[in-house]
Amino acid sequence: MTTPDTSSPAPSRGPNPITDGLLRDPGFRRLYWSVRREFWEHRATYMAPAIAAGVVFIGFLLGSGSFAHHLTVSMDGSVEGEAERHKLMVAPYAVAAASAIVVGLIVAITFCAGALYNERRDRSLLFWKSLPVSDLTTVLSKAAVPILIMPWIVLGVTLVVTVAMGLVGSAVTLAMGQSLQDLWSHLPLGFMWLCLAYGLPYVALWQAPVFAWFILVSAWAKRVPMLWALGVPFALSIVERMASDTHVIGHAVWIAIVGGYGEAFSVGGDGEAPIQTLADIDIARMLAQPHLWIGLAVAGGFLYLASRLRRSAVTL
Amino acid sequence: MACVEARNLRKAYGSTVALAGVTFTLEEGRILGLIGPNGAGKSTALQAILGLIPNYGDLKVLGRDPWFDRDILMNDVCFIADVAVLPRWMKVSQALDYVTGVHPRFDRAAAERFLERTSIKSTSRVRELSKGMVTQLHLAIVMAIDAKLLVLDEPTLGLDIIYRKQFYDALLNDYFDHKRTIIVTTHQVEEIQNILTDVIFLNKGRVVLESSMEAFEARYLELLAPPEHHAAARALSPLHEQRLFGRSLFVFDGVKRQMLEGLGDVRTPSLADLFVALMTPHDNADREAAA
Repeated sequence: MTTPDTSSPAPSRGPNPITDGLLRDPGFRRLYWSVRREFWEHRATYMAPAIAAGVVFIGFLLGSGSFAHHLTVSMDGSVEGEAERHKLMVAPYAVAAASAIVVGLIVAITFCAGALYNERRDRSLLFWKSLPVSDLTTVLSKAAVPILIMPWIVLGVTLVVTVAMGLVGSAVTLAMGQSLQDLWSHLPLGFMWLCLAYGLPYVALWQAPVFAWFILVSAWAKRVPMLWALGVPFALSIVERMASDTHVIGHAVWIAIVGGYGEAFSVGGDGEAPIQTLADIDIARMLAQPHLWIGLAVAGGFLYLASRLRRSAVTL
Repeated sequence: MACVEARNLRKAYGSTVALAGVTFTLEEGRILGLIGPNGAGKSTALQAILGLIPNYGDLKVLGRDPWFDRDILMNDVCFIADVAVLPRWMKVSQALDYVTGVHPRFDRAAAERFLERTSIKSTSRVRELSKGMVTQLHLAIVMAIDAKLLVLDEPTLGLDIIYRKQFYDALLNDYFDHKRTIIVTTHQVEEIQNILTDVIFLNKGRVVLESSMEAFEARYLELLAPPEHHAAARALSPLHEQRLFGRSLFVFDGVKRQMLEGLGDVRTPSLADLFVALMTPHDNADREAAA
């Protein structure tokens, strides 16, 4: 075995074979590198969901002894006991996925609120603008992080952690002298991964106007973009409530943030019963939702405005 | 094609007029110094040239309108605006990766050769580098770009004298090839006087002087004369007179060298001295002369 040559400076990683063809297009290449550099700068975009899920995993690890004990105790064959067992077994996996999703969402919002603000504050704007990258490309590269890429990061994190939990759970079950079949018949992991694999990218597209709004405000605000981005819709909805006793704005914001989850993970998209089987999944219905397309159009408008603001941006 | 063609550039910030109708032409292969006090409009002019602010008037850089075509223009234009605009979180290797990725005219190997001469490591982050090293890094990137126009806005601000000297040496020896065009503004006028081919004085948003350095040297002379020659010197109507340890320093516009040589030491004035001479109202000089 030869030792790798460490004397020469680390060369840049060669282009990914999948993107190789696309990278020959200068426009795509600029977008690609601009997105990559976002992840160099914002390591929290993948570290934070990983840490959140990792914490749940450690909790699962520490609690697995008593957890197994609970399982044995409730194994009395009754219907209630069986339902209780099912909950106990599935809960940690759901919690791991949910914490990765929630932390991912918070990181994504924070990222957007700083997207076009931090570069003005630390003056790096002047460096980025000295390169042949258009303002629109820059804005799109930033929008791509929460809307197109982070869902796959959260999915990957969830996959890794739930597999690890499944292995630990199997080991504990075997050590307790019980059958693996009992454990795995209760764990619909494959179904969960499938739901997340289509659901998370879908929800991110659904939430696009929210991310785009934060990016727009980050291009506009001279101070505290997060406060402006939260405060303006809040103030508007209060004014609306007082003026006309309606809550159109508040409702629209609420739908934009959480509506996608109901659409993706509940039967018929009504936000009531969670999907349980393959038959419950209806991607055609999800894609036919006008809310999704209205939201994407609004997001497009916000991002275009953000690119115009960035053209005349000055350092703060 | 001229590299920069500016006609009647105007720009105001609220009631503050930054540019009050600036007109000039810069041909390819020149090194232009843009000189003026704070608030003269130097940075505003550069920002307009770089497409960072909308311009009022008629401005063409390499034949394009910089406000609408900034991203295309940046294939051929580089700038170092002030110091320390490199993102602090970035690793040196990442900076090179990124510029390689987005800039079609960037020669990574050239940048690495330049960095080898410094103590900058490719694994360092920008925030770990000293101010001088950040400037070296930025210069290494810029010099590895095959650009037609390089704009430097106070590139050496806050650097100590060694780095400032290295900066301009590198620029002249490794970069300038008489096809490229450079525009530079700085407060340290004396450091760039001998590298310039052209000079523009700006004051209060207006061009006070636009000249090539050859014409400048042919036109302006400085005379350091002992008291017995003061009257003769004043008779040649100097632009400016300044007392210096009992002798007087006169600045002349368009007076032949032979006419002055008998009166004291004659030399080309520094840009800073000429700037002061041009900026001081003439009646002031007359009053001093009468005193």
